[in-house]
This record gives sequence, C-alpha cells and structure tokens, in this order.
Amino acid sequence: MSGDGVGLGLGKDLVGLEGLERKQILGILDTAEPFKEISERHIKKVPVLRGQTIVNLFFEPSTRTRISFEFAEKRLSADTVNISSTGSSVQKGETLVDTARNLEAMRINMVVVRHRSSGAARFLADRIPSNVINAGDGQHEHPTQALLDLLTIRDRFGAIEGRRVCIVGDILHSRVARSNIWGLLTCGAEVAVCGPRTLIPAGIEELGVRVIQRIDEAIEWCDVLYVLRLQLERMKGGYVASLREYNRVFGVTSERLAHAGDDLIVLHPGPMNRGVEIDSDVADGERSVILPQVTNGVAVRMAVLYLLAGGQPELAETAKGGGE
Amino acid sequence: MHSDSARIRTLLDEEATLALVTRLAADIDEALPADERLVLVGIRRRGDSIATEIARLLSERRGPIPTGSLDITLYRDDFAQVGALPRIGTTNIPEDISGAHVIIVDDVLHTGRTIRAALNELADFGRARRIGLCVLVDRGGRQLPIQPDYAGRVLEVPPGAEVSVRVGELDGAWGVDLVRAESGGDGE
Repeated sequence: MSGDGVGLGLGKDLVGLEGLERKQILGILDTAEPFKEISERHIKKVPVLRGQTIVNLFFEPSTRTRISFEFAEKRLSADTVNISSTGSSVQKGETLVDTARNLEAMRINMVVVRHRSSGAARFLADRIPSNVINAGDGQHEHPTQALLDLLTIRDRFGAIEGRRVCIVGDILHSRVARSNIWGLLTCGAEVAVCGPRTLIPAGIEELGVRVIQRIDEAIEWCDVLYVLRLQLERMKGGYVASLREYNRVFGVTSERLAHAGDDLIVLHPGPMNRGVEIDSDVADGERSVILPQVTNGVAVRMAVLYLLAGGQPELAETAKGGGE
Repeated sequence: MHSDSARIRTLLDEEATLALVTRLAADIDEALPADERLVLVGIRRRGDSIATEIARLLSERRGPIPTGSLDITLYRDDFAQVGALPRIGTTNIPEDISGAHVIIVDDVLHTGRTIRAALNELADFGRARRIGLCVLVDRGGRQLPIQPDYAGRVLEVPPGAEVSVRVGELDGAWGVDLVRAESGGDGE
C-alpha cells in the first residue's frame, strides 16, 4: 500500500474483467482490503457515498448477489432502490433502455444490472450517463463474483500468480467461469477446466486454459478447486444425463479430496446443489472457503462502488453527450 | 511525504522534534488523573506514529495505553471534488471507546477538516466520555471551530508554504520541515 492516488482508470462502468489489466484488478482487490474492516464494526457504515442513489435492476432472480450489493451500498451510505422483473413495468414489456431512462429521469447515480441476455450491461452502459455495474449478463460475465473469488484466493495463498485453479462443471453456459478465467489468467494463475465434454466450450485451449478430463486428475493438479453450480435446466437441454450420473462422475466428495494436496481449497459461487456438484461434508469441511467468499463479496462490491463513484467525472460527461 | 526538492528548510531536527513529542506526553500526563481510562488514536499516516511514541512514553508511568489508528478517507468532505481517489488505509480502534477519554493525535493542525472527519468517524465507534486533540504542530489557518488541547509548537507559515512532519517509522528520521505547497487546495 503506497502512493496516495488510486489512478486505476476503470472508467465509468464495470461490465467485465475481460480487457482489464492486472494492476487494475489487483488495485480493486487492494481497495477491498480496508473495506473488510467496516463490516466488522459495531456501526457498519461510512458516509462516503452519502447522497448517491443506486438502483439495483434485476431482470433475473437473484438473492445473494442482490443482497450483497445492497449491503455494500448501504454500508457506504448510498440510497438504494431495488427493482426486480416481477411486479414491475419490466413485466409489462418495457424495454431495458426505457426502464433505465425513466430511472435516469429521477436523477440516479448508479445502476447495478442483472439480465438474462449477454451484452445487456454493455448495452445499458453505452446509453446512460450513470455508472453501470454488471451483476451478471446472460452467459457473458459476472465480474464482481470473480473479483470476490480472486480476493478469497489471495487471502488464502498471499498471491494469485502461479496458483493452479481448476473450474469444474458447466463452463459453456457459465458467466462466473468466464469472468474467473479472464481474471485468473490476467493475474497470472494457471487455469484448467473440467466437466462434461458437452459443457466445455470448443477452442478454450486457445485462451491458455487446459482441459482436464477426469475430476480425480483435476484434484491432483490444482491448488484451488472451483466448483460451479449445475444449472438444473441443463438436464432438459440434454447436456447431462442425470443428477446422479453427474454426481458420480464430477461430484466433489471427501473421498476424492483425500488424494488432494494439503493446501487445496474449495470455492463455490452458490447457491449449492448439495449432493450433486458438491457433497455436504466438502461444502462444510475444512477446505471450503465458501463462507469467506460471501464475506469478501460485500467488501469487493464496496470497493467497486467506491472506485466508480469517485472515478472519472469526465468519462461520465462523455457518456452523457455521446448517448444515441 | 514531500520530496526533498520541495523542502524550503528544516525547522526542527530529530532531537528537537522528539523533544516536542516528549513534552506532549508530559503535558497529557500532567493534565489527567492517574486512573483516567485513556485511549490514544492517531490519524494515519503520521499521527499514528506520534501516538505510538506518546503512548510508549506515557506507559512508563501509567502502564500500557491502548493506541489505535484512524483513516479518515471515507469521512472526507471533499470526496466529490478529488480527481484521483485517495487510497484508503485501514482503521484500527483497539477497544470499545465508550466511556473512555480519547485523545486524537495528528502531526499538523491546519484547516481543522481532518479533525472534523476524525470526530465523525470516532462517533461511529462509540460514545467517548471526552475527546481531546493533541498535535505536534499548529500552523493556524482554521476553517472550522476546532482547537487543540495539546500543541507541541505553534508556527506561522508564509503563503505558498506548508509544514511537513517526518516520523522515524515512515521517513527514516524525525523532523519538521517547511515545504512548498503542492497546490492551492485547502489542505488537511
């Protein structure tokens, strides 16, 4: 921690980790460190975003991401409004941009958006002057999830560089996997993926990601086992035969982890399907850092809100002038 | 910390600076009853070094003094105006300050805005019985009704100049310098 300015140059929005530089990602993680302490205080609140209005615009159901953002916003003293797709004009067929413009007309400062379409966050960010934070868009990215994962890995190992991380599960449809792959590679980790062949994107090796066929091999290789949630709708798509079959071939069990290195840790973005991708005794076991991930989520989101809110007013000006 | 090129002249050398710190400790010791529940809180990043040194001196007569540090970045009143964001340090308050006599320690008292921010932040940690203010240098120029209870030295500063304090822990040696002001800002 040296220097007095955080000139990260993040710009107006956080849409994804693709394209961010290592020093920007590590800068966000460094900024998250002092925010951890605020959540341990008796009065969990600092006044830095007093008077800022933040809209959490969730077109897709979410519990923990929305709550985590909301805690982060409230602990920075921002005023928040939550809008979810059910019970709002969104359901009546209002478009994303119309919704956002109406919010703009009420003089908001930031939008946290989740949407089922890939690219929705970028689309919105290019059309409104408010800061936009992507809380998950389709199969594209979920940058704050990857940032909290990176912070959790760094907390445990001291550094991300040189660590071996294997992401297990449905890589093809996962925005969490995508953001993590960008973030981990940029920070110098070795990255592998493991899962049903139908759920591994073709050509992923070209990114510098290795593909490991068997879960046992992955466990032997890695320091960090990142277990993805199996989206149950994948059954319908015919990608996976059955839950029992998935658990038998790719499930992370304590028997399998018996062959792991002493330092191996297990991450999961939640919510878990216990007994499918991860067994309960692993989720609740010593190697699990799943709850520290949740705690770090609030600190990382506070850091992102702080950095974007105080960031570069000139970029917000440009966006205002440059709308369509 | 200023660069060497910004230094106009050294006002106090290490010996004189440490003598000021020693006097501040003696002033506090004299002013407060021996059984006073005292907590020192230094403002990062130089006030906390001074607080640690004062606590060390006081502990010789009073036993260990709980000492913490305060980073006031998130309580500044100019967040919307600063271009590049200030890097945030960690605040560390060692124990519940409710009912304690807290003394805020800083290196230079100028506009009073840093102290205003520190008072607001401290209020979020509990209701201190009393809060005092101890500064190594009071250089005048207040923009808020805030005055020190203990001041090592009162200095007049010519226009375009600032007072900068060096502490052993961060700067290698203790000292007080007159430096060229970096900008036309209202300082801290």
